[in-house]
Amino acid sequence: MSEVAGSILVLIGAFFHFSAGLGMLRMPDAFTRMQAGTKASTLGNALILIGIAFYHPGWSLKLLILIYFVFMTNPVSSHALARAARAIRIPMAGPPPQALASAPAAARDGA
Amino acid sequence: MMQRLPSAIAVLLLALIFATIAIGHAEQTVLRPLAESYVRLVPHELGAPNVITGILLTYRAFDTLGEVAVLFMVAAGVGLVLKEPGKAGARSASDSEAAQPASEIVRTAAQILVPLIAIFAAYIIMNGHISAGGGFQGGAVIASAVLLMLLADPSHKLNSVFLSVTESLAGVLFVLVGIAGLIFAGGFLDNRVLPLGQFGAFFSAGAIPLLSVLLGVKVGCELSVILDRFRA
Amino acid sequence: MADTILLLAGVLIFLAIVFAVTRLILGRTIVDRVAAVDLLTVISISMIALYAHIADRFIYLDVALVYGVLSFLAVVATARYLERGL
Repeated sequence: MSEVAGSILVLIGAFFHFSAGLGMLRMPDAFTRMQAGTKASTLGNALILIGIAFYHPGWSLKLLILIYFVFMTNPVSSHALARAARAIRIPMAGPPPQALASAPAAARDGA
Repeated sequence: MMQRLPSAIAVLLLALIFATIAIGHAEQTVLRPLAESYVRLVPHELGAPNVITGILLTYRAFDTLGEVAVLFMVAAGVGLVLKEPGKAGARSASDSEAAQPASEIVRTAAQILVPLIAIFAAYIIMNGHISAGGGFQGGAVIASAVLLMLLADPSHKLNSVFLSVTESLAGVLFVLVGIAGLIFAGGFLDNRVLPLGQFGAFFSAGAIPLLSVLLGVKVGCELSVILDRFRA
Repeated sequence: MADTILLLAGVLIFLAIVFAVTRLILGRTIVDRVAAVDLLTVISISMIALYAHIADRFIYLDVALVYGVLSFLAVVATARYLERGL
């Protein structure tokens, strides 16, 4: 019984990965691609690792460490990349919002 | 579209090579005679469950000493060719811009992650003789923790004197343990200078954990000094 | 039953990898390509974990953890280089 539950969790996680890849392919702009790629794949990773923990309960501690690590590092690296993309003035699809229409140097000072 | 063609061909070729390797992969069920004798000898004589670490640090330990010497030569060569960071020269405007710290999110994440990566590196080093791991691998992960520290705070100065002294001391201790093996046990870098202990326990397999720790410290310090040189 | 579900999950992950590689080839800017490589490494962390389940070996999870560390550092270092030239 726990095997079927674990495999269903793995299937949902794989579906999130599939949607991350699809978003990376179909989105119109570099920033939206980064957003699609990071959010969905982090959650998909967490679900797949929890699903594997259903199969092998003895592995839970190391899988939990892996989930914690992916949750900590994936958003931070995507944030650093998006900041760099803003600083080198990658073009956005559609008109930029008014507050960010000023010089990109404003993105470098402050947090 | 035509400009993307070379990269598409390159990716397809790599995928073809990887698919050929992955499909034709079959685990060997019967070992060759030399491998079988090693698999039989290492747990019996050296008391180490990890056959590879047993071979690397006892049977072929002289090669490991040579690898350590090669790494030391690489670090010395890089130190000779590259300029020392923070030395005189003109601190132009681009230099002061490059010394600005990274954004607040990256700095906070680095504060949490650097101890975590360092603990993971210690785990890899200490598990050299029980499961997969070892000195060289743990040293590389320590250097990646130092890289994260340097990326988050570019104005942070590494104490390269301390790193160089630690690295040399670790190398000297490695050779001293080897010579102790020559005097007290079978040969150079024999691991029976320390008691073999119980099979699979944490403190077992003689001098292999000690050698792993020394290797990890040496490789970590070396790679950190090389990374420090590459900073602007 | 559980095995067919795992096979379906494998097919979905394989399709995700194909999409990410397509974006790696087609990408218009450098940031597109770096983001595609980041997605590839995160997907491969879960692939290594699935392979650890199939081969029933616990030590493969250490490989996944090291892979996570290295991919994170690669993206942060590339981002910093793009922003201010090393």
